[in-house]
Amino acid sequence: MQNVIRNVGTEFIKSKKTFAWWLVILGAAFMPVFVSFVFLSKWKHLIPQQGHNPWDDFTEMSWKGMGFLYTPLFIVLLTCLFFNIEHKNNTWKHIFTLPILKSSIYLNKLLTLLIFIALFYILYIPIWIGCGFFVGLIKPQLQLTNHAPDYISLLSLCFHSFIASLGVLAIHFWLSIRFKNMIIPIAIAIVGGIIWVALYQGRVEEITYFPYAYNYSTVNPPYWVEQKMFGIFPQHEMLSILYFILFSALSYRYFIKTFKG
Amino acid sequence: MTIIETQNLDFAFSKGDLVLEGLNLKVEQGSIYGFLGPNGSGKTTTIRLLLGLLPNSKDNIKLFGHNFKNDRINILSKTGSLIEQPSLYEHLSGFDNLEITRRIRNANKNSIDKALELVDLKTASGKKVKEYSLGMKQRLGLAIALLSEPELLILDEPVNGLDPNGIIEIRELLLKLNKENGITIFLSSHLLSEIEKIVTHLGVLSKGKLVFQGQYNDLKELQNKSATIHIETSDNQKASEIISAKFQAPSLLNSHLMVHYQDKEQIAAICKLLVETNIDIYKMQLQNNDLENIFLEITKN
Repeated sequence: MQNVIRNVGTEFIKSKKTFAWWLVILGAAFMPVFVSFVFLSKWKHLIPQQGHNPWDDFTEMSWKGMGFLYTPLFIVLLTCLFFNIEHKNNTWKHIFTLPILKSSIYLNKLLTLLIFIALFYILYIPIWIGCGFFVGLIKPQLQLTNHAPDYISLLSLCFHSFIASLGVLAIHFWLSIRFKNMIIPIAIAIVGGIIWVALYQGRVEEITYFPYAYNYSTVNPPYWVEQKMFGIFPQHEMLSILYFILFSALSYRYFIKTFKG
Repeated sequence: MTIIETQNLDFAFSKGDLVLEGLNLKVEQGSIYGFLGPNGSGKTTTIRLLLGLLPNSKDNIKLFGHNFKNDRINILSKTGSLIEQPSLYEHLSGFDNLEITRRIRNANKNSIDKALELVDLKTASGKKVKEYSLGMKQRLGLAIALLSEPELLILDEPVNGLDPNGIIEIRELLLKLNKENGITIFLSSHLLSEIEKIVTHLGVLSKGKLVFQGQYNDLKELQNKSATIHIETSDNQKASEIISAKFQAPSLLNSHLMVHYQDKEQIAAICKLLVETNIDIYKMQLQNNDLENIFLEITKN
C-alpha cells in the first residue's frame, strides 16, 4: 500500500505545472458558472412557482449541460494530457529502466487518472452549491437562498456520472497508450460525440451500447429505451462498467506485452 | 566478477535483417568499458536489450550473474542508465525530476542532494529543465542515473552534443565515480577520442558484430604493431639491404625507407648497423598509427 501511495505521488508530481490541473479546476467550475450566468441573465423566466424548489431547475440545467458532451470530452482531454506528459518528454524509456513492475506502472497511471476524475466531482460539488447560493443572493426573486439543494441527489448524480464515465475513460486510456499523437484520440472522441447526438436525435434503441452517450443517459435517460436496472445501476451504467473492464484488460495487455514507449 | 555478459546475442527488428549478430559481451566488475562503433552499428540496440527495452526471447543476457528476464527488478535496482538524450520532464524542475526517480527507487531523501552535488547542479536544481543547457540536462540525466548509488552505470553516448568543456567534466565525473565509488561503467560512443582517456576495456562493434574486445592496452598493442620507422640516409638502397639482413625488409619509398616497428631495441640496432657501415643517417622517425585510425581500420574490415 505504501508503494502504491508513493508511486501515485510520483504521478502527481509529473502533472505539476501542466494543463491537467487547470483542466480539473476550470472543468469543475465551468458548468456551474455558465448556468449561474444563464440564471442571472434569464432570471425573469426562471422565477419558481409556488411550492417549486428552484434548485431542481439549477440541477437539471447543470447536469444536462454536464452530460451532453462536456464530461466525456473532459475525460478524453484529461486522459490525453496525462499520457502526453510521458509521450512528449520521451520518458517511457526511463520509466521502464526503473525497478518497478510494468503492471505497477499501468495501475498507478489508471489509479491517478481515477483520482483526478474523482477530484473533478469533489470540486464540482462545492462550486455548484456556491454558485447557486451566489445567484440566490444576487437575485432573491429566484428564491435559491430560501430553499436547499437536494444534497443526496447531488451526490448520487456525481456517483452515477462517474460510473457512466468509466467506459469512455477506459477506451481513451487504451487509445492514449496506443497513439502518441493526442489528436487521434481527441478526433475519435469528437466523432463519438457526433454519433451519439445522431443516435439520440434518431431515437435509436442501440444508444444503450454507445459509451459516449452514457453520461447524458444518466441525467436524461432516453425514454424510448426500456430502462433495465441491475441493482442500483441502470443498464447503460452496467455496460459502462463492462466497457471499463474490457478496455482496461485490452490496454493492460497491450501495455505489458507490446508497448515499449 | 562479470557484471554484464551476453552469449551469442542476436537481434533483428524485422525477420532476416540482423542488427546484432552473435554478440559476446563481457564486462568485468570495476571496469570502465567503452562500447565503440560507428553510427548505426548497433550500440543503442545492444543497450536497449541489456536494459530490457527491446524484447529478447532467449535467456542470453546476464547482469550481475543473473538472467535479466528472471531477475529484472533486482538487476534494475542496482543499475543506473542514461540512454541517448536524457529522458526528463521538461516542465518540472531538476529537483522534481530527481524526486520522481527517488520515490520509485525508494532511495533516501538526502540522495538527491548528494547526486546534485556530484554533478554540480545544486544551485540550478529549482530551475525548470526546459531552461537548462544541453550540458546541464546531460548532467541531470547522470544525477538521475546515480540516485540510489548503482553498482553499474550504463550510458549511451553520454557526451553526445557536449562542448569540449562539458566532455571533460563528464569524463572526470565518470573517472571519479569509478575510482571512488567502484561503479562499473559501460559507456557507448562513436568516437574513440571521446572516451579513450578513461576506459579500461573496449569493445568495438561494427555492423552488429563485435570485432574487438579486450583491455585498452590490447588496442595500444595493436597500435604499436602498426607503427613504422621512417629512415632517411645518404644511401637508402644500401641501407635497405643491410637492414633486410637482420629485420623484415623495409619498403623503399621516394626519399626514405619504411621499417615495421618492433620495439625500441630495434631502433638502436638499426642505428648501430647503419653507423657501422658508414651510412649517414639524416632522419629516423617513429610513426605511430593513431588509435582513431586503428578503430577505423578495425570497423572497416
